[in-house]
Amino acid sequence: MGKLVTKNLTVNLQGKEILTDITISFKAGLRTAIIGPNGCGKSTLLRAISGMSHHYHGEVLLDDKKLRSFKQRELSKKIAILPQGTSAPMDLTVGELVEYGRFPYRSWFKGNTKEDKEAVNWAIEQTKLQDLIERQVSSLSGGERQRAWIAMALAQKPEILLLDEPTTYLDIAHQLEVMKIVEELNQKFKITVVMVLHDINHARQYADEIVVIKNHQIFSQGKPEEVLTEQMLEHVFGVVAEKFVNEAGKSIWMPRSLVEKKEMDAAR
Amino acid sequence: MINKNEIHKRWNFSAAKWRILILAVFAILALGACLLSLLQGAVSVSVQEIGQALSGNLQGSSQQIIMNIRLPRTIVGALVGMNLALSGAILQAVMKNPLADPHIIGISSGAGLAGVTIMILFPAAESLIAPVSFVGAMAAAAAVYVLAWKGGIRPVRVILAGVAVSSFLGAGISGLLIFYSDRVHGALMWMVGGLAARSWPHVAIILPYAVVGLLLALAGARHLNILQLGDETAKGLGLRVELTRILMTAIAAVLAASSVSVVGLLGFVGLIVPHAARLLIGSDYRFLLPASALLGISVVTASDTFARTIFAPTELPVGIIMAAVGAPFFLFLLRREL
Repeated sequence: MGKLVTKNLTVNLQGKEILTDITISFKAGLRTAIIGPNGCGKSTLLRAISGMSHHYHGEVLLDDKKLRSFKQRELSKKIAILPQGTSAPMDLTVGELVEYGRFPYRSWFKGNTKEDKEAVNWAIEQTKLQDLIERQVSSLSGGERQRAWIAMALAQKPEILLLDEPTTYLDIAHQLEVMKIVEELNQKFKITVVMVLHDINHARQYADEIVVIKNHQIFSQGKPEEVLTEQMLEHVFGVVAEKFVNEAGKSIWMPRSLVEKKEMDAAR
Repeated sequence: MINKNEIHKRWNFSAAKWRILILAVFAILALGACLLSLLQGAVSVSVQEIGQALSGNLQGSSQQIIMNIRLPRTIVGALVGMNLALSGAILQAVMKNPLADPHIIGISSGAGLAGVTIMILFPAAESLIAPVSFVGAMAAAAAVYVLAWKGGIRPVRVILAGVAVSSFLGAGISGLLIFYSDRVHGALMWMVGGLAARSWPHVAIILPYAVVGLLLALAGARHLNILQLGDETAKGLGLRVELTRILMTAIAAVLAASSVSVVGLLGFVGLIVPHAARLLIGSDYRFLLPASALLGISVVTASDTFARTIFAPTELPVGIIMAAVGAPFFLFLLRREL
C-alpha cells in the first residue's frame, strides 16, 4: 500500500490562495512527478500530502484514511520526505544521520534494536554509502550529501517517499545517480514516489505519471507521453519547445524560446 | 567543527570511545574543582579534615567552616554552573543558533528587574529576592515566547523578541539604579553575580530545579538531536516540533531562572561552556548535555575559588572573573570555529 489521495484540497497562506481545489490521486507503487512553474504551489502540495502541515481545507487520504487522524510519529513510519535545503550540525557523520531515520521507531526505554540496525544497513546499501559512513555530512559533495539524506529517509522504512527537487544544485552525473537510486527503490521495493521536478526530461524518463500544476490548480495529469505536449509547455511554462525522438523511440524536449507576452495572454 | 574528528582519528579512537574519555576527563575536572573549592580560602583545611567533616567526625571551627561555609557554597556554585551550562546547550539547539544563551530569552533581564526592585524599593524583604526574581525571569521568558509566537515559533523571532524585552526591562533597571543611587551597591554586586555568603537555604532553593531539570534535559537529548536537523526534517521524522521547542525552552528557562535568582546575573557560562564542550565532544546531545553540565560545574567552582583567593581577604564576585576570562576565550573559539 501507499496510496495518497487529495480531495478538494485548498490551501490559504496569509490570505493568499496557494492551492485551489486539488483533487488528485498518487497511485501506490508508482513514481509521480509534479511539475509546474515557480510559485505554482508544487512544494505546498508536497507539504500537505506529507502531513507536515495540516493547514488546508478538504482532505488528504493515505490508504483511504484521513491524514489528519494519524499521529505524526505513525505517519513518519509510512511517509518519508526529503525537503529542500537540508542542514545538519557540522560534525554529524553519515552513519549518525541515517540512524536518525529510526527516530520514529525509538522510545525512551528501548535502545538500538536489531530491526533498527537492519534498516540502517539496508538504507546505506541502497544509497551506496558504505564507504562514507564515518564521514561528516558537511564534508561530502552535493551528490553524496543528497544520497545521505535519502538514506535517512529510507531508514524510516516508508511506503511513500516524497522528494522536493532532489536534483537541484547537482551536476548531471549526480542528478542521474539520484534518479537511478529512486528508480531502483521504486522498482525493487515498491516504494511509492512523489517528486517535485524541474527537469521535464527527467520527469519524462523517471516518472510513471506526471502531474502538471499551473496557477495553483491541476492543469493535467497522466502518462508522460500524454501530458508532455507542445501546447502544455506553451500554456504552463510559456516556452516554445521542440520534441526530438531518440533511437529508442523516447522523446526529448528542448525549450527553444519564450512565448511572446501577447500570445501568452491570448492563450490564457 | 575541526578537531574532534581529527583528534580521534589521529589516535585511532572510535568516536564512542573518544566521547567516553572526554566525559571522564570532565568528571575528574569537576570533582577536582569542587575539592579545590573546599580546600582553599581564608582558612586552609586539609583533605583529611574534609573527609572527617563529611563523615561527621570533626569538631570545632574547621568543621563549621567546611560544613556551613565552604560546602554549601561549593554546592551552589556547582549547581549554578551545571544549570546555566545545560540551559545554554538546550537553547542553542532549540534556537538553532550558536549564540543562544539564557540571556536571549529574557531570563537575565527579568530576574534583574525583579531582584533590583526588591533590593532597592523593599530592602527589608531580602529573603524574597530569590523567589521574586525567579518569577521575574520566568515571566520575561514567557513574554519573549508569546511575543515571538505567530502561528508557530521561528528562532530568529525569539531572538529579536528577546533583545526587545531585555532592553525594555533594562530601562527599568537603569531607572531604578539612577533614582536610588544611594542603594546601588548591593544591586550592582547582584547584577554581576557572585557566590558570597551563599549557604544551605540557597542550596535548598536551587537543588530541586537542578535535579529535575537535569533529568528532563537528558530525557530530551534525542529530541534535541532531531531538532538540529531543521523543522521540516524533524517533522518528517515524527517529532512534534512546536511542542518540543516549548517544553525544552521551558526546561532551559527554569534551569537558568533558578540559578540567576540565587546568585545574580552570572553571564557567559551559558554561552561559553556548551561551546567549549561541543568543540571537544561534538553536537550529539546525548553526550553534549552531560559534558556541558560537568564543564559548567568545573568552570564556576574553579572561578569562584579563584575569585575568593586572588585578592584575599577581598573577595571578587565570580561574575567578574568569568566575564574577564570568558570573553577572550570566547573570541578564541569564534576565530577557530567560524
